[in-house]
Amino acid sequence: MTFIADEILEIAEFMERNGARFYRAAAQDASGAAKEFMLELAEMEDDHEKFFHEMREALTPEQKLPVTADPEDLGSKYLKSLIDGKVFDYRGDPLDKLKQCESLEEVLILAICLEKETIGYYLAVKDSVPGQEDRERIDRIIEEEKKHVVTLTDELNKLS
Amino acid sequence: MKFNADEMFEMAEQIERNGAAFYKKAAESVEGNAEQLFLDLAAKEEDHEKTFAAMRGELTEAERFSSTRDPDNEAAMFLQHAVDGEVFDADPAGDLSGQETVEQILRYALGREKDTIVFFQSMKEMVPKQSGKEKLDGIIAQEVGHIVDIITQLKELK
Repeated sequence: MTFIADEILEIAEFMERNGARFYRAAAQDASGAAKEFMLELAEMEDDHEKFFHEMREALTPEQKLPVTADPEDLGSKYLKSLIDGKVFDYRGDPLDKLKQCESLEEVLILAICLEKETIGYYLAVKDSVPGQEDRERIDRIIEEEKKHVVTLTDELNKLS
Repeated sequence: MKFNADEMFEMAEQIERNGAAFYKKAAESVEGNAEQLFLDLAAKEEDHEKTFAAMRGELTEAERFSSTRDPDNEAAMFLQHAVDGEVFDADPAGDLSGQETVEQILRYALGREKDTIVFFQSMKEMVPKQSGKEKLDGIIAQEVGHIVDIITQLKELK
């Protein structure tokens, strides 16, 4: 069983790109404060995507080599399932789910779910990313994603 | 903004209690390997609940009521919303109608386990240092094991 740091970061980049697409599409159907914060969240996801892209670009040839892991190790099995998309459905298009939402409340609940998926992925793969500095930067992104959950939850509470 | 270690552990106990209730109810509507898996997972969640209850009992008075009040601390705000039941599903067993397929239940269980891990990982950053971070790591690893078991069961359905 082997893992490639580039692949782990590529998935992160992909998730952020999808997140930004999701918020921009959601903003088109929203108005007022909801529209504004969704556009802000889209911009933050753009920044995260750029960060992960730069991190990938900065990988040394050695860091791009596959890392062999014990196939019986629980953490390795989990990481493999993550990369295969068995745990987080990162290959699914969030816009398909957005189309099924019939209210701002449903959009906000979906957004919270997507943010939780992203946090879960970063928490799981963080330790497999080479470089202490990069791991600390991922920690900061996790905190920002948590802030998104807080913002979305606050907006959801305003509706009730 | 105000919550303390005691509330966090109480929330963790509740999550585990809800998890056990969910798996027991899920086991009632399936049979074979899936039934055995759900009963095993229910027993494990009950063990975790006991572990959290013990950890909560070991908190000192100072730790128990030490509050986080920093309104700019995202981790604290995230946990506050979680403790308030706004981020994670408070009653997963109640969401089961008994009419779901094994695959639907397994996918729902997967989501619940992922949420649990996110909560415990976030909680780990906030609990007092002496209050069992290593035990939390052990529980998180076991929840990861549940996800691996659920995915294995999903693969067997195909």
